[in-house]
Amino acid sequence: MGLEKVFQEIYQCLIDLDRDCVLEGVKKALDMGASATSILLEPMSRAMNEIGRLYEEGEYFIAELIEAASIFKDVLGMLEDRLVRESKGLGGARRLTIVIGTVKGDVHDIGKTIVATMLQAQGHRVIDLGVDVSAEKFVEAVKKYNADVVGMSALLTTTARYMREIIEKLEEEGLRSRVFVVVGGAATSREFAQEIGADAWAKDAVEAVKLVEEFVKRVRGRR
Amino acid sequence: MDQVKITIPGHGVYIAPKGVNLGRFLASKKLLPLPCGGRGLCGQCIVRIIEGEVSSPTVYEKLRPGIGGEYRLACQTRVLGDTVVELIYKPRLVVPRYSIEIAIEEPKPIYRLIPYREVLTSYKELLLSSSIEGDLGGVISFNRVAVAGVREECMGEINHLLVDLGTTKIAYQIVDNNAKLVREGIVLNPLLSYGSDIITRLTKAVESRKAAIEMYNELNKTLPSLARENKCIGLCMVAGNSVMESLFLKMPLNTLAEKPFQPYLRGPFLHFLANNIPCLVAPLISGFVGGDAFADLALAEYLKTPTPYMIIDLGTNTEVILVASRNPVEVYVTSAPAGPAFEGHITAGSIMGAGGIERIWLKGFNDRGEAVFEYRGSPTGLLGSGVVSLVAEIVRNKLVDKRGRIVKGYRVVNGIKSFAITERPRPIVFTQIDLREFQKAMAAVKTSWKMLLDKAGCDPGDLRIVYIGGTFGSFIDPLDAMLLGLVPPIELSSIVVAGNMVLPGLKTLLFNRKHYKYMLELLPKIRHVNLAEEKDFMNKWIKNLEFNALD
Repeated sequence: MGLEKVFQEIYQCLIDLDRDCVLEGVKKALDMGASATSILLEPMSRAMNEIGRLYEEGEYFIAELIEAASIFKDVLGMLEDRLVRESKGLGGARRLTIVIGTVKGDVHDIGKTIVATMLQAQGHRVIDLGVDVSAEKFVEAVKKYNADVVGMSALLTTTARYMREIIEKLEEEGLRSRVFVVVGGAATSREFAQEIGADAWAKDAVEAVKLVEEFVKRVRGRR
Repeated sequence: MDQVKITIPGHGVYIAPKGVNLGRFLASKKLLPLPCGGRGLCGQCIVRIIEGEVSSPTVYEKLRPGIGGEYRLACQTRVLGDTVVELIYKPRLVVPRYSIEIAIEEPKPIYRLIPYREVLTSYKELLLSSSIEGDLGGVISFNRVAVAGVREECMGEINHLLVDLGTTKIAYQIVDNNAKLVREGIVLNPLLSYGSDIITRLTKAVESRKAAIEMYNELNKTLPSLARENKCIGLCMVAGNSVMESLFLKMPLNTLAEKPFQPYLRGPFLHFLANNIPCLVAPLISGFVGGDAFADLALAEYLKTPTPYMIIDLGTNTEVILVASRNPVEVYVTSAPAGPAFEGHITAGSIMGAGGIERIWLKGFNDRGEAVFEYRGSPTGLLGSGVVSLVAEIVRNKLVDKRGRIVKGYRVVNGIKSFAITERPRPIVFTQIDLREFQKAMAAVKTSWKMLLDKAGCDPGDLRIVYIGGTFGSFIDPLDAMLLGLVPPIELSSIVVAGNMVLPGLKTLLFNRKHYKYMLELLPKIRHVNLAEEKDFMNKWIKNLEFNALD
């Protein structure tokens, strides 16, 4: 079997959420001499994009997203050492540090946790601050982890208002221009994101991942 | 400033400043509610611009099917010249199809009636409000029992006003001193123009003190009007959710709007209406389990319902109460943010009050293999009860798989699977994405009752009775509710579709002093479970997204 066919198998198995089949395929591909980077960038990422598309159509749902992210994480675990080795040689794909949390006053964490899980599956370093997170905590984490992206979530319109304060606090501390700010959650909208001075609005987890990937490309383009 | 003339056939001609927002203007004239608060999100404020100059469509309108040309969303439209506008939205009151009517044995009001002049002489130092100087009596509070002073001529024929202060509508009853019904009715909640859901209203009130005061004034004008031709109201008793009661009492709202999501004060409250009628307001159990749930519980307890039993009030905010045992007291409550799928926020959604399709059956399939449906109600949109019956039908007939993927009977429109409910007068569809929204609401409700049963160590099979309360619940077939997991799986004969439980609940509190005392003693013992803060809530919720009937 050619490598191309094995990649196709990995792609299809991940879409079908067949964990064993994906892991087997990845092993096969490695045996055949494929690089870990190519496995990630080709069948794995392509399958995640397709899963995202299926989610947007309603064909797939939250359980499928989480399942896919979990398989992705397993594969990442399997490839970790190789990725480090390969990236030393190649300069590597830039992965980001992302600080994420549900804002102060709000305790709803499902949406935020799904986003965090999916971003982690993409290989980013995700610092999940949990729920009821104050502006101070966001600022502290951005400094401590030298974050590239800040993700904020709120379910209620009453608590979403607090996002503005967090952005203002980032400004005050001189951190605003350093981070890409994405907001999301049922209480938010594109207009709302614009109004409070965020960089982007994600209507769901799939969109959040896409936005971050686009940001990665832009960052990479710059360097 | 330039002015424009807005003509609304059948309603009149209005003068407004040029550039006025049509939605807000019509709402201020009580001609149109703004369910989403005028944000362009719910698509309910459709109007037809028959003639005249208005602003061009916004992005919200461009995104919404059925809007375009003459048809506009009023809240997105500015009036730039004299216009003629037809209202498409026809407010309609939905009355619960069922309600428990109970007789009170030996009714005796919890407060004492004494002639008004005696209040002024004997109890003057205890008067709580200067409003006693007015036409009617005041209330003096002694150990949770009140005395109302009434005018001499009313002593023999005193009446009481019971009010269910709902989010969409206000239901009321006037009863005599023997707890016999004198008159009842329903009016739309005047706060509909501030948003159809409590969170939107709460946000407005928190952001603007002025809006909070307006809402307070609206409610305090509406309640006395319910009693207007009745001069001998001794006491008014009110129950509503925590947001409605807090707005009605002008209580601080910050603690409700964000963590800890609890009311500022718990009550019960004593309040005076604009015309000095004293008003006893039911206590709030927690932030999202309010005085209305307290009244529901009062009714079930008055009826000595065998334990363990459960009360589920389905809606955008679903309240669940589990009385596991009475001795020792083991009562749990929670609320589930079921979200807007039950009330309109889907492709072709409609809300109670606007009317729409309330029941749907699968009739068969056409020659293209697409499902054909029959329905009851007006084909203007899908009501929450219509959505529940539709989803139950497609699950029952296996048009979806366990995870909620549509597998049969659909057509693909713009790349999205959808069911066509009707084509005329406008297409009404239910899409795969709508189904996903519904699943989220369903999972929240399912998780909430399961979590309470877990807390108490009960199985669904242990439940002796499950009450389905509220108007929404009274329009749902209990078999559908059970199939979808909106209520626990128990014998059909143990389900009581109770409709409005708030008014009879208030009656039990008003006319039985012992029961009132018992309920107030129970109140601090009720355990509130906050779903969002429960361990493992997310995993349980995700599991509950599935249709268990298709296992």
